[in-house]
Amino acid sequence: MRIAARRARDALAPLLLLCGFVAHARTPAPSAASAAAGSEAPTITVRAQPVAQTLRAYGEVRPVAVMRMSAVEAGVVQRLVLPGERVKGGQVLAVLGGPQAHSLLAQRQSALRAASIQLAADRHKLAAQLATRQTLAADEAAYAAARGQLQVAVQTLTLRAPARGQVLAVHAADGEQVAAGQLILTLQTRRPWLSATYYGAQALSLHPGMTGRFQPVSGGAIPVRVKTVSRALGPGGGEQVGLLPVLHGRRESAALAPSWRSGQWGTVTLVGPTRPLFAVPTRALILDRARWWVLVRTPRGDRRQQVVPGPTRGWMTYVSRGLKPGEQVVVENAFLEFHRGISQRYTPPN
Amino acid sequence: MGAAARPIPRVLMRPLLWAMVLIALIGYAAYAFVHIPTEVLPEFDFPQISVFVHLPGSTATELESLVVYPLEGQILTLPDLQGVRSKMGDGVVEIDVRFRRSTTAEEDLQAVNGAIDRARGQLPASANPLAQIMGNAINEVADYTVRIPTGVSPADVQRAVLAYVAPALRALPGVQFVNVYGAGDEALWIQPDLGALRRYGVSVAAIAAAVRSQVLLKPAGYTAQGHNDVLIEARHLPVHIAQVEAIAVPGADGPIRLGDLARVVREAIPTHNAVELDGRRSVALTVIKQPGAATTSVTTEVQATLQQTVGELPHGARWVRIYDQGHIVHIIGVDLGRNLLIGMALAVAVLFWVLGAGRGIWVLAFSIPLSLALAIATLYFTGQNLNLMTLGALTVAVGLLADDAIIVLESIYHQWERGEGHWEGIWNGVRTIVIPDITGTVTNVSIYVPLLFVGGLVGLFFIPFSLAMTFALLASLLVSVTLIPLGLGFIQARPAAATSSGRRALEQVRHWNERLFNLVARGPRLSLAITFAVLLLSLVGLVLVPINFLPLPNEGVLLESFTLPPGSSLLDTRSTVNEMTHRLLADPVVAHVYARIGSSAATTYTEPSYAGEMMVALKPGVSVNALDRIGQRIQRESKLPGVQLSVDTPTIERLGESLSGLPQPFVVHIFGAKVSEMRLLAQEVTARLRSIPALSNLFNNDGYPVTQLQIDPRAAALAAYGLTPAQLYSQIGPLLNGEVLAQVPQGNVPLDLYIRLGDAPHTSLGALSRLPIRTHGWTPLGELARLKLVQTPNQIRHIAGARALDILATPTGTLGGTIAAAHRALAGLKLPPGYRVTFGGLYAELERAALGLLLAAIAAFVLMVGILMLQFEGLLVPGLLLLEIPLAVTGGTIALILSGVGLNVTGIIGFLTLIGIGLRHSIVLLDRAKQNEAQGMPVEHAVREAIQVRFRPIVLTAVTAMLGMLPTALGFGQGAAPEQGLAVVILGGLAWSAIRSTNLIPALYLHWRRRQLARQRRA
Repeated sequence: MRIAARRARDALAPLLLLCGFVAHARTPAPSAASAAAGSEAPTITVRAQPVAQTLRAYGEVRPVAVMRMSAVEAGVVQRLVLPGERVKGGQVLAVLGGPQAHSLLAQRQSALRAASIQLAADRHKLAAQLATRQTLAADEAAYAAARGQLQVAVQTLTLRAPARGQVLAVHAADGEQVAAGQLILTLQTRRPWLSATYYGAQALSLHPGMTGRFQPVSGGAIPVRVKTVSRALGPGGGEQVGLLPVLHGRRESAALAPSWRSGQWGTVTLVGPTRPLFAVPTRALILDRARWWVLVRTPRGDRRQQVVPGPTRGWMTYVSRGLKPGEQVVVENAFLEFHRGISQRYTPPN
Repeated sequence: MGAAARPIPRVLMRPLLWAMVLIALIGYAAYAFVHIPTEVLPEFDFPQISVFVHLPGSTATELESLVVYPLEGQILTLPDLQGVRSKMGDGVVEIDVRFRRSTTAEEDLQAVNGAIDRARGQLPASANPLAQIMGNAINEVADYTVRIPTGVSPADVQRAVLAYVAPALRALPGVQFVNVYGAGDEALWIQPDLGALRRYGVSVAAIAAAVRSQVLLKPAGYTAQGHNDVLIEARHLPVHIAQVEAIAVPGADGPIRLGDLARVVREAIPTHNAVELDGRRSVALTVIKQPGAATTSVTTEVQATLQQTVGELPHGARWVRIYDQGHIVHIIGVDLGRNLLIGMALAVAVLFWVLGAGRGIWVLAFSIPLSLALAIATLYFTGQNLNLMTLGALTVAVGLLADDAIIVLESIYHQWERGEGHWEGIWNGVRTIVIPDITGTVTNVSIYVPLLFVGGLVGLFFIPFSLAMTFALLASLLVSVTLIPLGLGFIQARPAAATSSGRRALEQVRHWNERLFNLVARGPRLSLAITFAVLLLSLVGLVLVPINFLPLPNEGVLLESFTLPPGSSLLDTRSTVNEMTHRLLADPVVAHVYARIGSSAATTYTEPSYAGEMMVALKPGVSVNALDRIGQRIQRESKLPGVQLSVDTPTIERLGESLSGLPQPFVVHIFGAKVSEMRLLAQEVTARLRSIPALSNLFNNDGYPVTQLQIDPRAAALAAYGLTPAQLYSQIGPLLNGEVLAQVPQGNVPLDLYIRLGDAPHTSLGALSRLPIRTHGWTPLGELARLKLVQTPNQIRHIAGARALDILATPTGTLGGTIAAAHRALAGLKLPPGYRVTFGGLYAELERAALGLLLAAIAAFVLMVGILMLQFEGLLVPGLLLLEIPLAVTGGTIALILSGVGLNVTGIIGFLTLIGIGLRHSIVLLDRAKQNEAQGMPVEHAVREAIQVRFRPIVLTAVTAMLGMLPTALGFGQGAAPEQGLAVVILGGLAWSAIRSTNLIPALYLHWRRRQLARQRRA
């Protein structure tokens, strides 16, 4: 009996093995159904997310204003500062010399000497009661005037920086004879600002206090804030916006200096108001018949949905109209899937 | 013998004279054999010229204005015009100019080239029109591509090929064009920095002007120095990046270095097309031969030249051959030629076996190659070449060429066996048989006469086949009534004893045939009914036979054409093609995948950038019978949604391109002035026509809307800034479209100085709107112009200069009924003034051609009946013989069904040959029976005697013809494979015809002749 049971068990084992093998062979391979499911285009579920509007423009760092220093009197330019030189307030920028300047000084000095001699003489006469007090007063006034004119002459023949700044350009050279009123140099006395021009609808949404960043062509990014918005149109038809860097200390200011130079140019990007948009991968968008579309997956199949695309950031585009939260948008092969069935409407010329 | 024999003309008895004639004929035949070109297909000679112009990036309306109007203005003035059709869109213009049939294609090409020269001054500088005779695409004989190693730029490879390889190829005799494409022309590319332009106040127009003014190569006179006249050359040719960067551009505050305003790189000009090999960028080389030049010699020389110049390519680059038409021509010529020789040898061997090895049989054996040689000589004389059509006809004819000779030989032998003298026997033998011989040949030839009147594509195949068959049959007739009798006479031939086995075999077959005849004669009408029943069954069985209209051998390459939706980007197309390539390379039979996307301006291809071709090179050893299966598999493997595919062979595709200038079968034309209006009308017309059952496959391809970005200047804004639209474009064009500012000579290949923004195609609509334009200051483009996306038709057409959009359809009924239904459907359509809808296409011409063919067939039929009535004096025999027409096809059909071989156009023509063969055998036999009756024999005896006498020649003719076709029917040789269907049809038909003409026809004749005689006796 035991032997018979063992024999029965021994016979059953291969039978069970065989059944298992057959069952495995008859199990459908993960081919048609799951392969079909695997080949379905992946989708994403769209959600509304706040996206700030970005306003881009060309920006150039420029002086706020420039001071044009001209010669008051004629003379020969001497000790002229160099273009680009940084100057302190009161620093000598140039001195006018030459025969005309000397002549003026000599003239004023001799007038002073004459006034001084006259004053001394009239004081002596007053003591001898040979001159009146009025005469003495007149002599004193003449002396003071002569002294003042001499001081004026000395000052006008020396150009000094009215305030700290930077020499932008020189328009004369050492040894050059300049006439009265001739431009000698241009001075920038304030930190330059960033000037950007915005056009059309973008310009309307600007206001002081908006923040953003400036990316100079030399590299890097500087946070900026809008200081002024001019409401008058410039030569190109745009509105000028003045921006200043947002600084948090002297160290930061010093680090900024190489990039924040007059003439530096780059791109200004301001952050505008936020609005809710739907992010989709850019490759999910299809342009067809001058309109933008996506494919939305529904239980009944893929449906075409017209959308209005907004800004693009990296690989994503933000859709402003046409989508609802929770919708599944087809991403993989969206373009070809969109045109599935084209052979009904278009046949190749061959 | 009856009346006294006429004396034999003495001119026939001069051996030297006839030997000289024979030598002259053989000499000319040998010359023709050496010089006759061998090609795949017959030469095109349509008087239609196609003009191609590429202007990449241009829309349909731009092409119309810039290219089509100037060209049509000159072309429409040419004489002998029959029609001018232009198609424009996707940067390509194709103008098809059809001339009257009375003109020659070469003269027409000269006239069109003259018109192009006159119009050239009005065309854009970058537009280079190319005119060629329609059908020139079939002359594209070799396609090669370069496997480019990693790290080597395709532009470098292309430059090397253009500089060193292409000139060597162009110098080869027989080469018409050499096209090199895949990468753009190498250039010094100036990529403006928009920020720098703005910073320094310099517009792109100023940069363009500065660069142009820097290029100088001009003569400056000469000076006499040291007894020499020394020419003076003024030259400044910047060819290095540093030289271009140093160019001074005038700015607001003085000159500025170009290097500070733009990035200068040495790169290929971007093109709107691409070439890839196995998924990697490549450079393609295409060789087009002169019409009439020998394909094999051109392709052999091309391959040798490429091997010699491979060292000129960058290190590691290698040529990969994709397509070689010479290979196909070679295998067709070799294989069909070999099969012809084998067939001839087999046929001659049977003759010796059955008729014995006497001198007469040597003359008979010689008549076969002589007839073939005379046929080839006549083909050469009439300007034909050896191609699949003519070689197919000669393959059929080789077995039939012995027919006339055997009949004449038998007749002469019969006279000798009756005791006639040597020359008298020859003379009387020929006199006895010449009328039925000629009648048989003429009725055979008259079957092909209608085919000579078929025009168009069908005529391209039918006419050469018909000519070859006609010439072969006439040569055979000529040889049979000249060489055979004269040869037998001069060499003093005598009937020799057949081999004993041959004699026994023939006797056995004769015995079986007699028994069969006895059986059929007992119930001739029942036998006829059974025969018709078998015919009907065989016709039903034809549905099992695969049909491929065009016959082509295995080229080892399959061509898959693809089209993405119109307007698809090049980027998407490349990505899709790469996906398909990847899948195809995983197939075990695929060796390489070469893809051409779009069309280079250097070629006459017209695919837009969303379409192209993939040539799938197969590994060696793939059999021709597997090609269809492989083609279907390839199509399945590369299937993607939204992509339309079709698989064929390269030569078929070339044929299709050759015929691309012909109108579609059925077309609805919408004529009008405004494109947008026509597009809306086309949509409405298409919607209405869809309701008509008589029209299917309705497509509004021309009106398919694609998206266009229009830059529409605002007049007030431009006026405010003092700009004109042309000035605005002078700043936009170079930045976005790019412009070749100058070409600088550098070796064999000039170097372009090119300007364009580096990333222009990737500019978003927002960035385009912000594109800075130099005004008083700087103004973005969006303030100066409206940028809007609009719909525009995919392409537009001109028909005889008038704007049109075409809607294609396939009519399913008669033309008249279809047009009437269409008129009813369009009854309420409101057409604006100046707009109209007409119907056109080749359909009417095809109907007329079919009608012409039918009339020609009826005329041939009447002619044939007339000849038969004249010969046989009455309606009984002609009526019997006309039964051959339907019955003849049975044997061929059954053979096709049993063999499983497919049917193509030569196979269809083969059925016509069967009719002639069957008629011939029956004519010869019934003529003998009539002669016997005329000599007083009773009708049954007359018929049996005729069968007895005519049996051997009929069987010999059938057997030799079957053996002649046996190698091809068995499928020996790849090159002979396209003719296999034809050979199988003839083989089966011959066997059936031999049985029919020695049993059924004489039995039916006997039956009805007895009834005729009985009626006459009662009367």
